[in-house]
Amino acid sequence: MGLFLILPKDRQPSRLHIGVTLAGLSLIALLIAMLRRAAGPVMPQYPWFILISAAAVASAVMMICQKRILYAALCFVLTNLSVAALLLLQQARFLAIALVIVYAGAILVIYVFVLMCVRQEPPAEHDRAAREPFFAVLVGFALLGAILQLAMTPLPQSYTDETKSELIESGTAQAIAQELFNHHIAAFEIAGVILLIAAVGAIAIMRAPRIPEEKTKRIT
Amino acid sequence: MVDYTYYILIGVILFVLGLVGFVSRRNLVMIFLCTELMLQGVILNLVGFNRYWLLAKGADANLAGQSFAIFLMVIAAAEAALAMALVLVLQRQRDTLDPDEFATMKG
Repeated sequence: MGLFLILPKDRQPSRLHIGVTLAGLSLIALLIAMLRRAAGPVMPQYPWFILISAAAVASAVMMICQKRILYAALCFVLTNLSVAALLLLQQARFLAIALVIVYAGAILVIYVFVLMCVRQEPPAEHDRAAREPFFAVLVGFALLGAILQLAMTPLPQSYTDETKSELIESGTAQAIAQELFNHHIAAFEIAGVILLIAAVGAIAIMRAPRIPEEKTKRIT
Repeated sequence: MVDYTYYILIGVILFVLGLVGFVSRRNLVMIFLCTELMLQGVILNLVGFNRYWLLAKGADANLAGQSFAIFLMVIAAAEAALAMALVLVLQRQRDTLDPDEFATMKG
């Protein structure tokens, strides 16, 4: 695991070429480390997992390194689709489709819409250089090492079979609906109320009366 | 085939990348986007752990991880709607998306 911690990463939106090559090298090293550590028989789904997880991590790196936010939102759509594909690999089919429909289809559409509304033609001054990128990456690495220390304990081989029947029949909408309505019905109703409150709150925020002297600062 | 720890690894990597972006970008909408990236990592973690539970316990395992992931998506949608409303109002007032401009309460 120490191998992961030594990998160099550079995150500065104003110096993109160095960052991209370093991040690409670190991603390749990560994949090679994972391939070497793979024990036991390699089932046909393994290269898919490598490919899709590489796409997810690469698009996440691209997303936080973009200069223009609209491109970052589009990279985030790619990340969403990769995460949905990873969920599909784990036989969580309903959740994968729900992720695409709700997250990539509704939440990111809201983001793109607002980004179109607040677009600033030259990339603004505060966008050009990240704030304290070195310390940010350092803290990120420390957190990554701490979490991975606890989380990476290898399991016996019988826990890695993707074609077990319990796993396959657990990913359907029927199974999740049974779980939700039998055990979490109160939380389900409260989630509906939260959505209602959020919609009312968003409208209330937009309609709040503005301070009169700020009106002259608006661009007409 | 694929150990569940590898799914956890990818989830943790996504979460940490979102955290790094959250801390170091200086645009309000970008900060909210990195929050959503962190939530993606958490969803992946939840479903990964749930898969381990299903494979280990067999018949007497529940789908708590996946239902919690659904609730997470609901909360993310509510938060995104409110965050975007806030961003629009703030943009109209100060005409900038720099979070440092709104730090009037800093001591």
